[in-house]
Amino acid sequence: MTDERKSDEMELAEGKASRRALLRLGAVAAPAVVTLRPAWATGGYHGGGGGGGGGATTSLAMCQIPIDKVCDKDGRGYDAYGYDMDSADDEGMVAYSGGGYGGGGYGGGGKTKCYAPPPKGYYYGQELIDYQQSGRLPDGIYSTKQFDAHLKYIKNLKPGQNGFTCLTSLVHKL
Amino acid sequence: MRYRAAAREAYVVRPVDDLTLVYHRPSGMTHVVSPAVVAILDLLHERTLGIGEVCEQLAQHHDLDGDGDDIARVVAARLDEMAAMDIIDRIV
Repeated sequence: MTDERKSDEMELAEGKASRRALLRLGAVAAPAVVTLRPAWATGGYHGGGGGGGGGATTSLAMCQIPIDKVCDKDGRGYDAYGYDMDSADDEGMVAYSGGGYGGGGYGGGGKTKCYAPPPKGYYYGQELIDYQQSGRLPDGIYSTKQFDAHLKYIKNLKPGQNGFTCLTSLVHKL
Repeated sequence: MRYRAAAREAYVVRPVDDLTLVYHRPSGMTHVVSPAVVAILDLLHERTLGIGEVCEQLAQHHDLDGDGDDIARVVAARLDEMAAMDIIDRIV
């Protein structure tokens, strides 16, 4: 009888123990997170597509916001071609030839100058964070007016446009 | 350093088999996370806890396995990852 009672108590104790689930925390150096990015997000996450959570902050800051349109002072973009970056004046404006207004229904054909995109064609998220924190213009941008036009363009980005996901990730950091 | 989960409406948690998807609305990013991350996230919902408190509370309901590493250091590593995902905030 004593042995039986002992056995019952042991089973009871084992039952209690088994209700405490094992929680595997992983190791310090082994990331517990894999981050996926939306297919429509802009490219350029230098942190690696399947990178662990530890690199997430860096990856977000290295995302890119393309400025592939030339923008007017209100940040509106329209298709323009034939501009020559070398001809940019002190305000970062360039003359362009040819029409091709892609949006906005404005212009009337009389516009001959607009703001040049950044030389590399995009901004890194980190450059915008740096500007927010230090006021330092990104490399290759020498005119506040030009950069303001780009910022207005960026602020008007809509879901589905290149750079929107990058922007939303930055909004949380700015 | 103490930690607290982001506002509940900022993320969506969906279990899928043994893993869990966490969609972070502000960034549009989806993260595949381990059960440990989910357990820590639950603890920090509307509560601000330090690393020691997180360890204690996890240990109340679980046997903890840190793959041979010190449990507090592993929990700190998970908290760093979660802060990088912006699903928890660091409270200084």
